[in-house]
Amino acid sequence: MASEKIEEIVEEQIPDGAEVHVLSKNEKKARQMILKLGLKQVKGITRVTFRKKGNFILAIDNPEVYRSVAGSYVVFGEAKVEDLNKRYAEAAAAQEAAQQAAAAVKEGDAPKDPESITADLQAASLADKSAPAEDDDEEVDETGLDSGDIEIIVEQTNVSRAKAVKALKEHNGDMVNAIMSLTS
Amino acid sequence: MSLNTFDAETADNLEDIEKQFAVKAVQQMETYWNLLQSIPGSKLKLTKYDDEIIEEVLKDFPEFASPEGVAKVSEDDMKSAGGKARWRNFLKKFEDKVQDYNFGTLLRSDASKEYDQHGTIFVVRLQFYAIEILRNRYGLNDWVCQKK
Repeated sequence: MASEKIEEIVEEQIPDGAEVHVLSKNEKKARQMILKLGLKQVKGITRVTFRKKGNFILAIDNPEVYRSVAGSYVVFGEAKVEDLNKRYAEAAAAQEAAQQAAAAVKEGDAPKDPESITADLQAASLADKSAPAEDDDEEVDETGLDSGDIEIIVEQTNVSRAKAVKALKEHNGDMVNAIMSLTS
Repeated sequence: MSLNTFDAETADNLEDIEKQFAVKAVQQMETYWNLLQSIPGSKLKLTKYDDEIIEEVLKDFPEFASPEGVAKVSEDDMKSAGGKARWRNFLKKFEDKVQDYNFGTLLRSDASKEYDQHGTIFVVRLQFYAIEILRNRYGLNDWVCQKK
């Protein structure tokens, strides 16, 4: 996967709940047109992922992947959103549980004293907390922006203040464009 | 048609992409309308350059100095040959400053009405700003917020 250069991706939207094999008319058409471009199917790919900002991942399991002569890829399949932060947290929790189980097996009922239990609990709660909350609370420079404007954006879009400031800056103080970029 | 023989000169425009600008215009319209519904227009700032835009537009369009002048705008006036020339002059002053100044945008021809089929005209973003900022300053859009 890592060695592939993805230069162009045509993504087909599949309606919610539809079987991947049941193709809509539009998709059929699109496939026929795309396949005329001289594509070769790449076999053996089980998963295609797109990584977005903030560790958000769009994943397509069991995709149909085609490669064009020019090296662009066309991927068919149902994209699902995956949150990496969540997966990290889950993985950490699972590891923690496995460690605890292993320790319990090794030492029998020895570690049942209060200290080791509190230590375990602390470790668990730390592992839980450290995963999320990385993106938002960074210090942001609000110079040149009207704090009233920022508050309006936060109110309208329910994003963090930092994100509102960033959007407002990106759009050079343009309120409507900033809100649009945060909501669409 | 393979990728290698693709010729941009003879290719058709992809219809879906052509439609994208309309999608954007409608999104912009909805966003702006939501803003007006939650904040009185007279308290709303649209861009960094609101004051400059107003100053310039009043120089070029003295008829906008009174609330009546911007409450209703006529599409025919704006898009007549003379009207276009005046606007072009004004647009030039901001083309480097205002983001998306020439994007297609929907404008209500009458500030006392909602966006509807007949009262909505198609203008460029900067014309929208000029007229809507003036309407907001005159308090002509405050009713939208009170209605809710």
